[in-house]
Amino acid sequence: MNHNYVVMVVVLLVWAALFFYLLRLEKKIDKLIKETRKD
Amino acid sequence: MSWAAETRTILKKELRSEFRRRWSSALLLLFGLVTVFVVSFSLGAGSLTPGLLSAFFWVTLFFASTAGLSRSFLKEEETKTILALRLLASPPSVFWGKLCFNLLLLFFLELILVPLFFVWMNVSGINASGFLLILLLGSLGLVAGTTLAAAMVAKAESKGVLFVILAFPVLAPLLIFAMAGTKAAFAGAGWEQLANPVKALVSYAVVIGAGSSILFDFIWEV
Amino acid sequence: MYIKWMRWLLLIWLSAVIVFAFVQPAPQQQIGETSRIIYFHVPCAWLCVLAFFMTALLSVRYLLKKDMTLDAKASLSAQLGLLFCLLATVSGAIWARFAWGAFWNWDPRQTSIFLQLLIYFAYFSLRGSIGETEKRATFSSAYAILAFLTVPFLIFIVPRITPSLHPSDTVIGKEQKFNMGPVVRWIFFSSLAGFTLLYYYLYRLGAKIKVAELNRKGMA
Repeated sequence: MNHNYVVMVVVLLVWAALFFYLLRLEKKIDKLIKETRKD
Repeated sequence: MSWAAETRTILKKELRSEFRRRWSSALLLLFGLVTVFVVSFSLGAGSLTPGLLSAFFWVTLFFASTAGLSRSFLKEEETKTILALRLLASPPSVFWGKLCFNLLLLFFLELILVPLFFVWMNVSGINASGFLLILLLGSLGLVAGTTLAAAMVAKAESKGVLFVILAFPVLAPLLIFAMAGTKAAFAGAGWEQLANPVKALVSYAVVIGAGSSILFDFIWEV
Repeated sequence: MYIKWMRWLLLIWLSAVIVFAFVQPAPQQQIGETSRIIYFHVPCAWLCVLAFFMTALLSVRYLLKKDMTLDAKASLSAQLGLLFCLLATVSGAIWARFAWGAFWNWDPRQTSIFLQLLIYFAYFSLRGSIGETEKRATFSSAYAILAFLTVPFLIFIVPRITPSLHPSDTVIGKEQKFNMGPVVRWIFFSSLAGFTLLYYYLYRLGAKIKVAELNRKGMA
């Protein structure tokens, strides 16, 4: 049972990392779009 | 001109230009013969199981088709007749005319290839009518699946490679069905066992033929 | 904007799926712990088909409306589909190694996913060979639709034909039913739903980028 929890934590961390990366990416894009719209 | 008459005219034009300058038939024949020869020669006097025979047969047809059928629209590009064709004929006539021509080409190839294949590969004890039916339906599927790709590739750069890349995934189900049906026919199976592959081949030819024909209208106008 | 809270739902949902997938007993006892991969592998394959369906749908709409953003979105969906197709193929091969002994058996479903990979490869090769014009959009739309027409054959008919060529060793086939208990079923369908939401989120994100790119180039 122990390896299961280790793998689970690893997978959760990978998923969290991916998710927050996508979140940052979206914020950057929104910022870029707003800036190009101002001109 | 009526739709059918237009298609027939295009077909006649294709036959005539092929007769004058053998754009596709030579390539088709060459690839087919070489493939059969290589396979048969490497086997020597041995014989193969129905499954392997069926696979080699359809591999031969597939390679010959990719070599020979990809050029259907190429001749129009090279002789600059494509504008004339666009002005004078409606897209469906062009599509079906070329498709029928490709089908005749394929039949011509098979007329030579099948007897040769049977003799060189020691094929016997088969369901002949079943095999012929599968062959007919498979050929229909082959031309139905390749004509659209041939049209797209005519204007592209690396025509040969791109054609195979485009054609293979679309033709894959056809090859699977045809190989299964031919394998059963080579094993001398009855009609009950051939029913599933035959049904699959018919539906493939209908769906892909109809779909290609509709999509061709969009390709042709661009 | 409704997408704002959906992303948090997505985070929590898939996190919960991950936890339950590992905490609960393994789905299939004969294969053991590796059967947990089903919660990941099948949703990837599902997403691959969903994405390609979206590409085909967007391609149809493009051919009717000639709106370049539709073509850009079709290409985007194909990129997502390719990603999940790769994930599905690799995870499937790994699972096959543990469950059936070999990485690759040409089982009908393995064949289908491999051909789907070739379809994506062909789609992008076609796009790569033509410049960014209306012609590229039209040609790739036509090809996407044609290729999509073959997908029902691959998914539904091939498995019924190839038993005559190979022994059918697919676990989720007609002969051997993969019996899912109620708990497994819950996690499985939750995972499917969660992944679908993930696709939607990635699609919306990508669409924003593509539309912005098109606007910048003045092609929208």
